[in-house]
Amino acid sequence: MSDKIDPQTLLSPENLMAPDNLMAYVDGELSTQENEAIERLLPKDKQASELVDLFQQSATSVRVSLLPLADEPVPEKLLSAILAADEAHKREEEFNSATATIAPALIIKKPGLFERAMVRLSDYLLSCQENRRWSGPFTVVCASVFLIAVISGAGGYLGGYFMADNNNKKIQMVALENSDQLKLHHQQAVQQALTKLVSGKKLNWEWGQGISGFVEPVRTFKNRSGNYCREYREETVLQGTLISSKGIACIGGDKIWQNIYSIIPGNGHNESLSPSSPVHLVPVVGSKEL
Amino acid sequence: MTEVGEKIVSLLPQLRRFAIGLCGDVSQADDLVQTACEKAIKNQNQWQEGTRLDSWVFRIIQNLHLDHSRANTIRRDYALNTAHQAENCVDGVRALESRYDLGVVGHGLDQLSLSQRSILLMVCVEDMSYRQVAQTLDIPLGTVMSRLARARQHLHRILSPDSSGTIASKNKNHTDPTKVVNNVR
Repeated sequence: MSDKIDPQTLLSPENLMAPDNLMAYVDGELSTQENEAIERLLPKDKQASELVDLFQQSATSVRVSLLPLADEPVPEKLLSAILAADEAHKREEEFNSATATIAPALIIKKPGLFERAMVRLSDYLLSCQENRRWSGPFTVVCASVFLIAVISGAGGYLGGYFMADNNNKKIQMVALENSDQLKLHHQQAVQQALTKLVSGKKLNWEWGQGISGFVEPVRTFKNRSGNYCREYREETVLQGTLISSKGIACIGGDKIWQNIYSIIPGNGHNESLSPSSPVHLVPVVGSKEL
Repeated sequence: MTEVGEKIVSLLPQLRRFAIGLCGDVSQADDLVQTACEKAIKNQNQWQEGTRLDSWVFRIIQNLHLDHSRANTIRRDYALNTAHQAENCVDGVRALESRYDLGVVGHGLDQLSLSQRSILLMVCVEDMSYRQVAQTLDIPLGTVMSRLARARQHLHRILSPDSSGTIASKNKNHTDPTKVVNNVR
């Protein structure tokens, strides 16, 4: 065997003629030196010769009956199943590498205070989402910002569309009930921007009828589950009124960015935080008291 | 095609041979090979480049076969009285067709344990070294050798006509359907 401990003991007749070693000899596992030594000893050792024959014959008979099997044609069904599996894997890989090429561009080298806060924030928001709990520390983080949080459930999406009351400097959130296409258009813009753009680049979108805007990824971080999350900001022009907003979205297993929350900054004299149930996507309508 | 996929396709005849030697039944072997290859393609990142791809897939085949045999034993225990069971037993023609005729060697292989059988096939048919087998099956080299030696001694007893009376009849089992049915695991 190639485990050479001590050539002297290895080449002692007892070791050389041990059954396992004779088998290794038959299977071509030994060194030339060992082979020659065994061949010198074999003629004098009847028992060992018989063992060598046994190992030789058993190997030959298995070889003879099994080797020709490899010449048989491979069944068409088997081949096509494997080709299909390979094709499926290839497609999956391509998809993964397409998304992976985006991800490295987004990585922030070292998570700073902000990122760590964001991780906490997104974890906290996710836990709120689960527990329907909404209180305390979060409001401090968001001081001076008028905050409307829209917690959407799994697969949910911020569907509230808004119009600004320019005179009052108050923002009214108005659901555009009949604008599914606009929602879709906006949603696609957000998804595209978060998937394809490095932070700081803007994606402009235009709807027509005086409605347009841009989406700009601002920062990227990973949440505790290891998923990428991105903070982004948006400016939307709704018939002459500019609305700035911010949001955080995290990418899920389905490769879709899901809004964790959205912020619409107001004039800052009041803060409000409104959790909304996953179904109700319209946070506030005509809020005088704000 | 992926690189691994291409290699696997070129290895198919060999993989089938191994699987047939392992389970003794062509259609079962083809199922085994298919499942194993699908698994290998899907998890191809786990294969370490530079190592033998065939031995990696051999191992997957062997593990699948082991799971399959276990499941079969359990199923048999639960379904002793079902019509399905009876049907399987009677269907000698199908068994005759599906059992690959490896003659007396097939019979001998049947009597070995799964691990003895797969080590024997790897070394004697697929030309793998003891070391490669040990790495593939993740067992010590000494274990490979002792199992292999035992398997060959066992096989030799079955194959040599003079060693026992039962062998004489087994030598001509090619034409004996009942023998073939016995061979089906």
